[in-house]
Amino acid sequence: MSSSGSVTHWVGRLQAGERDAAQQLWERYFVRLVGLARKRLQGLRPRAADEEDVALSAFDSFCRGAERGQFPQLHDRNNLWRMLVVITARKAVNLRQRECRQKRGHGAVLDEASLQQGSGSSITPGLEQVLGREPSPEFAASVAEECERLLGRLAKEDLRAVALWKMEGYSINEIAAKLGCSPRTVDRKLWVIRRLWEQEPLP
Amino acid sequence: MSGRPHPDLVTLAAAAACQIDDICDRFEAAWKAANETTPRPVIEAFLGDTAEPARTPLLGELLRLDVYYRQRLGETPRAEDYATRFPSIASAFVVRTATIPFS
Repeated sequence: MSSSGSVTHWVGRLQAGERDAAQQLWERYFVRLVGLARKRLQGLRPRAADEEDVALSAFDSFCRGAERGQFPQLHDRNNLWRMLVVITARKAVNLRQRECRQKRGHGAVLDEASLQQGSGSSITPGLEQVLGREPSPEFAASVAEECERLLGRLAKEDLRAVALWKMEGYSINEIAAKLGCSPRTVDRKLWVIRRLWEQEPLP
Repeated sequence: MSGRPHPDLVTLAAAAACQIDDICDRFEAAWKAANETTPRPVIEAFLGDTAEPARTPLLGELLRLDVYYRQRLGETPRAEDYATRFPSIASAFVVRTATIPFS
């Protein structure tokens, strides 16, 4: 599924209550959701299951919200991706805060099974409960501002276009076709973008 | 082995990376403008007097673009085409990696 029309089609079907549309969107976005969660979880103990839990929970929240018509602005792939980013980032932050509290309170990080065993206690609710919050408008705005700030560091229009298209899931070959350049040029520009963002001074 | 840019590009300062990108953009534009009356761009002319550490990764990128556009014209670039002109770069490696498709 590579065209904007395909995404729009499946989003429309999802909003109409067709569950198989969720599978189509899932296959397209899950890997990137895991990648986003991984970045937000850096510094914690690496556990693939956690990253997948975050992405899974984010996608589930997204599907349920779309079915309930909570995202009236959700009409194309750009808004879809933005919404998924915000939900995933928020859930990763929640998980990170939860794990930090576990470290302080017990001296060890509990896994999902441990959390579920303790879910009867108000002190250690299950991971599902921790991940069950939706992003606040303030957090969504801060994520959007951060994206805009990073894009603003790219002085050339073609670099901004490549960054946006890549975040939206286009392949290098697809972006090259859009720009009318070689795939190698797109790959080079991605390296330049990373260099510009990596050399950003810390706040 | 991937078809990624020259490894030196990965550790290059952002300003130098932007400089390489600009030069490569002009080189590619010249290739796209080339026809029966407009000559192909020459790598040496775009390499100019660019100094290290940007020179080697710039040469690698220009060479890969050259290979790409020659292939689009139906040619079969060989490492020997570049080895004598640019003895400082492993042209065989560059030609080989330039032909690996992106996904």
